[in-house]
Amino acid sequence: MAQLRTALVTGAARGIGRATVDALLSAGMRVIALDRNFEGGALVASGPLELVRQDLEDLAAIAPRVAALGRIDVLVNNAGVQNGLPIERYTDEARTRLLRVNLEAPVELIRAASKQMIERGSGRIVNLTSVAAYMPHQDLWYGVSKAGIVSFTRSFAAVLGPHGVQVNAVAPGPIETDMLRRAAAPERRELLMKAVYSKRAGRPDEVADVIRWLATDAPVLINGAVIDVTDGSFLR
Amino acid sequence: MPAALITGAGRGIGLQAARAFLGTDWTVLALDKDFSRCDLPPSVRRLQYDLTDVAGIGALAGTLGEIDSLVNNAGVLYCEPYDAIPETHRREIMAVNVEAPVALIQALAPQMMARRSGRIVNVGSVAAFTGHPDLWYGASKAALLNVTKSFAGWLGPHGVLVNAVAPGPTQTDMYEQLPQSRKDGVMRSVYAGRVCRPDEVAQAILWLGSACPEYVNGATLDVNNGSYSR
Repeated sequence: MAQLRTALVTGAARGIGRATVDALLSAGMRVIALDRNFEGGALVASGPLELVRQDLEDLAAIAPRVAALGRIDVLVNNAGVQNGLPIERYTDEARTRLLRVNLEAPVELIRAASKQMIERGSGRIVNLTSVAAYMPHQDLWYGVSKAGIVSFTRSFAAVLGPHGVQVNAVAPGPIETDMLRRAAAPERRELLMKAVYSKRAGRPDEVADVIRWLATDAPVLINGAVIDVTDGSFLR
Repeated sequence: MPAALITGAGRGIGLQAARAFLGTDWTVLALDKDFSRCDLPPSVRRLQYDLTDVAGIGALAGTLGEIDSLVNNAGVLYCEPYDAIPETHRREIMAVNVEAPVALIQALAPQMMARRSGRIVNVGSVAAFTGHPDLWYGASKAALLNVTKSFAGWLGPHGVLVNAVAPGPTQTDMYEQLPQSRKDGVMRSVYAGRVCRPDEVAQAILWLGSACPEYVNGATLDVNNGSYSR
């Protein structure tokens, strides 16, 4: 039997990351689930599922960690934080942490994991951005980080594409997660719900299904693309 | 078995899309004006129809029974200079590339809304964003992506998905019609160093037309390998 393909999923303990772990396990992959905290979560290491506890704010620790994990066929950069602070109350600390976790850590992860993908001439990377990349957002630095993810998705697709590596992104609209419950003020939630066709927030498993498609079945010519999972909340 | 109606299924991307749906056990209704180069199996119902006859589309759609997925793939292109485009060609491009897809959506939307399910996939093009040697082809593809969003807004609340794919240049007969300068431009920008294959676009169409989550609606999926980053 051929060795199972391995996916590394960041921010895997909850929400979209957790649903992605389930989707990739169902697709027959081995999954390395990375999060800074698995407490209270239902993820338990077993068979094809390995848990790695790590805070991605520590950028210097990323390359050695990836090197220790062995073969990675798929990287899902899902981990992200949102502070929900208006810009006049933002702190340096909150900004620095957000930009490290949302923007710099995925770049470090891609740099580290792409070396082996280039050697094999294959690999798939999926980055989680957001409609916040296209629209105004109450958390200014969150929007900036998500727009940055769109940008580096294209940049890495251009760098890695000629080596057979796909780099794509998924841009969800409002999704039923802790992040939406915590961060979205009731007015913003209402505004988002007015725009979506189905009058409901998306489910994490719907985003995970798109990630799974990009990580497994999507044609190799789909590269540098951003798939909107927005149900009309933003039409690009 | 669910049924897919695919226009322009006689060759190129449409033919591959028909094969892709057949491969996942769908019933396929193939529409084209010319099946001379089509090798689809006899199980596929062939509808020989010229989509320039926009007025006849409603009556045609009424004879098709239940359609679960509509793929508006048929398209035409001439690549004549902008100041030398015959009126007949402009009319044909706009009829086949924009008016016929709209007529098909209008004709099939009522049954899809009644069932609260249905999927429509429109085949746009990177030309919608970049401009194109064939002025009306580019304009028609931009229009079709706009049509996608409008109908997603109207049909989405009734459980119908309306999405689009926007392929970059793909190895079809249409590609052979492009001027060399555009072909060269494409090869400079794509990461893979080759044009797209019709079966690759077909896989993206199949996913939107049969499997993608319902929260993917009103979206345009780029299948262009870096030939245009939007």
